[in-house]
Amino acid sequence: MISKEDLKTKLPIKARENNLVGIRALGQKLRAVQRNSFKKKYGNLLGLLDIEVQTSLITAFAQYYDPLVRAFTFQDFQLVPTIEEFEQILDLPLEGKSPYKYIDHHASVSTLSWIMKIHPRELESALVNKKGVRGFTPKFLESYLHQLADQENWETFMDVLALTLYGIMLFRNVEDLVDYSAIDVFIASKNRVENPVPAILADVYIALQLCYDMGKRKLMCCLPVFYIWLLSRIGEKGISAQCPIEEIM
Amino acid sequence: MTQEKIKWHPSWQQKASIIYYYGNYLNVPLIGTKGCVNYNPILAQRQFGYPIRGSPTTVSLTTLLAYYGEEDATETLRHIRSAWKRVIRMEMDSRAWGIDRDTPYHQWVIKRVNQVKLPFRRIPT
Repeated sequence: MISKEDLKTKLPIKARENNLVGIRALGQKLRAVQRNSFKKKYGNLLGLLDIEVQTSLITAFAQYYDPLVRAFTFQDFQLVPTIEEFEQILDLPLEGKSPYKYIDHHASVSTLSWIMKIHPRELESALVNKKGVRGFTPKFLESYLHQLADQENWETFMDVLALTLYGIMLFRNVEDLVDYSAIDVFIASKNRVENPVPAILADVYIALQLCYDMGKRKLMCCLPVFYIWLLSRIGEKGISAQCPIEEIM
Repeated sequence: MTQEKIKWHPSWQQKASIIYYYGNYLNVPLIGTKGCVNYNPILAQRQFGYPIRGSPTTVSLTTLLAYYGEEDATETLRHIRSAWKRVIRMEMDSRAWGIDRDTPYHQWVIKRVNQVKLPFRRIPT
């Protein structure tokens, strides 16, 4: 007789993805040449934007997280998300660059206004507070992106697009907000050439730790990156793909 | 899920010389937007096609977790920033204390599973 297996208590964690329809349409406004130059600056963000994340897979996988050893522990093996894999998924090599350092975590409105080409006063009034966190609504950024596209101001368009994607796809803390932590990593990468990959990996681990240590229930951070990582290990397709994203496209 | 189902060598993977630890740290602490947290490349060797040489020692898995705003976070952050200047990749690792060669990794994982348990029923092998 098989005795009933003693199972780990499951946590009420749920992965939640954003609605990305509007921003996908904006991404498609870039022509091939512009997409290439966007990729050079910001890596694979547009590729990640097209991924339909199966949140149920992430939700189930998160149950295997082993918070003390920072690994997913299965019955006879472990899996560990690493810097090297995330570099490839994002196509942002760390070599020769310093990682995000969390130096100036409240960039001034004037720095932001210079990058976004919005008057400081207008920018100030666009900043909102949500659950005590400051940032922009995706709605504001999307309508500004439409405006930039109409003016064919592609340089600024690309920067604002990258900033928006940092907020709604990667460093996502509060729903429907591109918050100051996303803004800060973006500015660090734009102005100080700091590589965001270790910060993305850190935030994935920290999101999991928060579920286990502090009883947080929502997993929202960096979902497409995490999802591609997962599929690159457990997916069945893509025997000869050249990069992790290609595997599932 | 069992180890046979895992793609240990995806075709896209460049066999990178992985970052193993740096500065005086025992593994790799990362700077995020909410805090700093370590991870353990020693457990990821198989993902990069390295032979598993044994099981990780307790000290090699020393944890680090500091949320910004907590008392020691600023000091930890400063320490990590400067440690990044001295990255040690795997083949340069000469530490004798990282791996316990007498305990096979497989045995170590099974012991770990008995401690932390699995969320879903195991698959008979």
